[in-house]
Amino acid sequence: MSALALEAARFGRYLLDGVEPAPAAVARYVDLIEHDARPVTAADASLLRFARTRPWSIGPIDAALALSAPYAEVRRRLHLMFAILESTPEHHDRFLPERRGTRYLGVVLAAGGRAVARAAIGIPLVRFLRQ
Amino acid sequence: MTDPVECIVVGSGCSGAIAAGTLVDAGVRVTMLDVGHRDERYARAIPARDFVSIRREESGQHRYLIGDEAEGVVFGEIAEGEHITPPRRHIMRDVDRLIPLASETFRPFESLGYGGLGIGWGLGCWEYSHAELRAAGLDPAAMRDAYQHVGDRIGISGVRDDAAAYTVGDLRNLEPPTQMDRNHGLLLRGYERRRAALRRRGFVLGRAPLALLTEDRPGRGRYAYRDMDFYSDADRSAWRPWIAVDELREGNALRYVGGQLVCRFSERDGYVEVRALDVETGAARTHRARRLVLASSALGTARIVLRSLGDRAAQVPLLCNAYAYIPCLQPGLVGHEVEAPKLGFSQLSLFHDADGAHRDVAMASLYSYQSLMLFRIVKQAPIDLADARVLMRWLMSGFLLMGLHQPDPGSAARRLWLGPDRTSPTGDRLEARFAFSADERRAHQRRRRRFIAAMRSMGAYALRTVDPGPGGSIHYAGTLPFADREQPLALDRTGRVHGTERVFVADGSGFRYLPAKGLTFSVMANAHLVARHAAGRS
Repeated sequence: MSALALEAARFGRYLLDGVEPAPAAVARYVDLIEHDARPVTAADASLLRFARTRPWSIGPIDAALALSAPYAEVRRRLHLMFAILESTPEHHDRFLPERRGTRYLGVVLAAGGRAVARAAIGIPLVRFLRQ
Repeated sequence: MTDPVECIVVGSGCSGAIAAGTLVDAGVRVTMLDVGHRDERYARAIPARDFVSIRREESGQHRYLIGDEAEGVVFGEIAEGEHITPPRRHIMRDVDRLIPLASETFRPFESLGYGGLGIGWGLGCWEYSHAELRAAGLDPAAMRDAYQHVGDRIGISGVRDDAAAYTVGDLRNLEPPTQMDRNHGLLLRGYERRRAALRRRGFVLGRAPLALLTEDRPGRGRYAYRDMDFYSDADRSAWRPWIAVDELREGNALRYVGGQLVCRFSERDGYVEVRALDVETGAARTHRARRLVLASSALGTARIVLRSLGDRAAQVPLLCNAYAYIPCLQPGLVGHEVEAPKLGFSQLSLFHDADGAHRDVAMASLYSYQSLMLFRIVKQAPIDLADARVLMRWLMSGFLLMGLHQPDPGSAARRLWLGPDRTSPTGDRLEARFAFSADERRAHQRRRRRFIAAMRSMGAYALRTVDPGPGGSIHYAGTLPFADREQPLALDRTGRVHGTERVFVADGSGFRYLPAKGLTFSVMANAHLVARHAAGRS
């Protein structure tokens, strides 16, 4: 598996909360990034490498960048993968709104708590990796 | 040298399409010059299915939902046109290259597409009040007939409700209104409960009249509620200017010449010479006509007229509505399933009439959010994208977007002029200075707060206010204002450019005041009147 395919698979699994992304979505991501001539800074490349090789770090890095550099390259690629997954029929059930009862508020609050925890881990991590 | 054609219309947008139709009806042979970019990539790929079925089942959906090069995925600060979907992105093609505009204070949205800005028009057909028409320099009696003529031609669905005086005015022959989706339905129920109090505060809510068929017509089908309105013009239910131009071309009533960027004109003995640039080859082209009707939008027409008649120091005024969009949340609809069938266009309009005189009226168009998808909104949450997906997916069914426009009475602080630009194929660029005074900004903010309070009282809570800055409204006018006396860079009441015999302007360039209501319907009505005058001179 190429580095980009590995990146796509790991970004996809992260965005889908552990579900394996469809092979077509991975291929689409690889194709789009390969044909993207945008330059990547050394700091962004280092963050991307770290996130790609240590999947546990993707959430914390994403959360930290959402606060400090929301339009950084890692976030741009995650956002691209998000759009690809959203337009892949195999994953429609992860994106289309569903009827949720009041108990679902617990899931939403848990997601909020997880976002805070990820940011708490990610802020020092990103600071360290960008040094 | 060939004989001049009877009439040249420049531009295929809403005003050009209507003007050409009126000229043809009057027996005039029309040539339309236009750049005319089209979507040649996606239109055929979009199935005639509803958005939800496509999302669940269509394997090729990524092509038109995000684009072959992911051109529909815009990442970064909120940008002009970022909601434009891949099948509509030809609306912006070549604009920076062919018609550059440089300004620190004004960021407009222009088009060289086949159908102009009408490609992405929201279809709202609000009539200006008599007070608004008079302030704009338009004749209310003539415009009333013109509104009816255009309404009959394009087909308008709507209803005479509480806000009829602000929406459909005197229009007859309306098709039945569209079915409302649940967000708009809930808001309307909130309005009905608080109607008396809101009306005391100057607010009125009503159905938006739309150029959208709810009954079949020859060649066009009634709207099918597929919620694919940001991607396709299926069944031609929504009126688009290219539909009208196609019809005229099919009937051999109009000769269409694409790939032509009209640069300037000059009057000769008995005809007008029109200089254009072939956008493919860069070669200069010359066309000749007995009459010229400019319909390139207020900015495009200003470029042509300034090059043709202005001196280097010439400046023209500019009108543009102050605009903000305000995402709101209806808590009662959070956590609801995806909605189908559904309509993507605005269904309700909220008006604030400061003194009940129908002159100083601000207007908000309301939209629910579904087919533009989650990826466009998750990036705005200050949290990681995985958790933003959970949160936004849950909230999405409760989102209601308010696009708030405020009237522009004009000011000397808002001007346009031509400057040199060696990189531009025309050797120049439009430059603009656009500023609201401190008093105007305060008044705009005060009114925004009133709208937010009114929405709250109807059960929709504002989450934030996004001000895209001047130009973001995509409503431009007033660059060649109507003037009764002969004066340079102005129009007479028939739309003729002062100082010319045979050159008319059929877009909103003549308006001296820009009401907050979307101007497209009024621009089309005015185009019909101008074309009638031009036909009379042919």
